[in-house]
Amino acid sequence: MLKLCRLSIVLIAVALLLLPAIDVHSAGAIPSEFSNANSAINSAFSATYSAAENGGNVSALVAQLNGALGLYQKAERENATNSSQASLDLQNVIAIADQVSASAASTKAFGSSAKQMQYIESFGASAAIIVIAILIYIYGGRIYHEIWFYLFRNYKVRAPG
Amino acid sequence: MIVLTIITILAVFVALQPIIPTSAERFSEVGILGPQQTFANYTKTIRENQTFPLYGFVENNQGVAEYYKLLVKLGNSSTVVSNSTSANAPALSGYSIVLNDGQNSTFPMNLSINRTGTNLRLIFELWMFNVTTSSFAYTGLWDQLWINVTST
Repeated sequence: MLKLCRLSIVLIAVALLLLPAIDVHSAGAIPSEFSNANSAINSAFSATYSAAENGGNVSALVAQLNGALGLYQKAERENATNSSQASLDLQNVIAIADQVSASAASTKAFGSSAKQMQYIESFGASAAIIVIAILIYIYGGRIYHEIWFYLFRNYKVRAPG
Repeated sequence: MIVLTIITILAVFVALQPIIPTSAERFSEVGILGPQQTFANYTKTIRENQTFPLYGFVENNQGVAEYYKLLVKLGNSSTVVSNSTSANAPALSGYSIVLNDGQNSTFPMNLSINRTGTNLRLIFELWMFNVTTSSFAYTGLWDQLWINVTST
């Protein structure tokens, strides 16, 4: 019984000695986790910005980024009280940011091709308008007279008087 | 001949309209709203460490999506802040948001001040992420609230 009691005291003493070490780990998410999450958001935004500049529709990416920012701010708030949850939130932030970066690449490609198509359409339409104008200038008179003769082919010309 | 030329020029102009770059003014906006989300009823006196609500408003008209940070700093009557220099004062809080072109956002800010003083200034600065330097840059847009903080 005495032996058991001694063992319990030793175990409690060891636990008390280890407590500060455990506390260090639960004091908060390590700064590198915040730094990594912050870098991931910055990279994701840069990719989104590039996609937007190239004519891509980035509304969904912007919404996702704001979700990541909300999680980041939540992690900052809860870091002092619930560090494991803060770490989990920061991991989610990185996952969302990476997803945004990946989606931004395809959004950018889609936007670029849409923009290119718009250029082709505009220049094509302009060229067509100019060609039609030249044709009208060259053949317009002849076409007009041909149509006129066709429309009035059954009319009889009566001599005056 | 003249009529045909005019019609052709107008038609070409219309066809090229979608790809002609617009020269619309590009700008951002920042505003601080009171507890009722209006430009009124701002808190003038609070107790030390008392949480008081305000709302931040940010609008993006830069022609492209932007990443903003609204920094809340605590200054006093001698703190220098202008549209070219940000305040050299401690930051109380920061609020980050990404806005698409033409989008705006109103968001709550629950602030508290852990020191007493009269004629303190809450300075709100809008910073914008610069993708070239990968860092935030001061936009030159700022706002302020004069506030007195009494002891608890």
